[in-house]
Amino acid sequence: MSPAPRMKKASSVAVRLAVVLGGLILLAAAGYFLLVAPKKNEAKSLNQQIVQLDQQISEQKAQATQAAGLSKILVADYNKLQSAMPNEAKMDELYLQLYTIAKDTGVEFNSLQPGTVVAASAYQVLPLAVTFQGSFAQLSDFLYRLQSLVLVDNHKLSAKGRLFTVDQVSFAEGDKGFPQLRATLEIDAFVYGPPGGAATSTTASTTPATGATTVSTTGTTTTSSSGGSTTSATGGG
Amino acid sequence: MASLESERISAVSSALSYRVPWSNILGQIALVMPSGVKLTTLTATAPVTANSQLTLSAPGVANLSIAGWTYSEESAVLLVTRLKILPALANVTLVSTTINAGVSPVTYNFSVTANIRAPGVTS
Repeated sequence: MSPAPRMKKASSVAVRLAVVLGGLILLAAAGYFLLVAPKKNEAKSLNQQIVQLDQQISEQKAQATQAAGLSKILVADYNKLQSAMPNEAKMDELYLQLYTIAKDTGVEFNSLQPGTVVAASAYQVLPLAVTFQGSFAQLSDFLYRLQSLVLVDNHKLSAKGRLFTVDQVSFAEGDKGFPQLRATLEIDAFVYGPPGGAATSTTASTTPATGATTVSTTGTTTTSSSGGSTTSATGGG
Repeated sequence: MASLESERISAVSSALSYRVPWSNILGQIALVMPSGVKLTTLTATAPVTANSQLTLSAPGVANLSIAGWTYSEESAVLLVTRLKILPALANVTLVSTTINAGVSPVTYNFSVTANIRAPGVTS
């Protein structure tokens, strides 16, 4: 065979090889841009979403911790301590705070019934059974404001009123039907000091038919009707 | 005086340790509620309380129960799946779904239970 056809054959093989290689490169590029790149972008976007969600969860946890007052109190003004947990029951003041929050949030009080005082080691617990009606947003706002009365912010106690904890929350359909809800809460207020020194016996009578509530404690009478309230202290409390 | 103040601080701290961030928990539940899911009742008890006279659920027993209705069973399952991601809840369980065949459109009643984590406890 002469060198010319051999060279021609070799160049044709090289061209074919180049075409095949080029085709493979093109196929790989097309595969990358059509299949891999979109998935890569999707994965990147999902990773970003995961990071954002993780951040949201961390923020929510931090908010929950702060709201629950779990940060250790290092700084506390005596007046704030006194305001959050007074030496006396001060039931009139306590009811007034609850009624004010209810009025501000738009919920309607149905009943407020104090329970028997429970003694703990350093304080006494004043249980209150509260029933009221409102929308979910209003009830949630009521709970938020109740919680916001006493907060621990950056290890510093901030108290705008009494310290309340809510033991039980129960929501059901309201008298006017959904979206109005009837909420029943078991709330605890606190009195500093061992039992004996503060308010003790509490009795209550409720008249839900008229929407009015009468709560009487030792020397204190509080009456409420449809969000409005009048409080009269007749000594003690 | 400093001792009295520190005693008072520890009393307030102790009472605060029983506080559950209810508005936060309820807000989270409302956020993950799928469309078409309607709640009829919600009852929740704090995992810990300062009131020793109040009967709490035994540890591990559900202290949050939700009942409601949906237009499809999938929505109830979706609600449970979403509730499971909430940091404040644990052991979210779909207790039952029952069909209301007599009504049109058909609806499904469901019941879900969960455990509210104690304040400060994370997953």
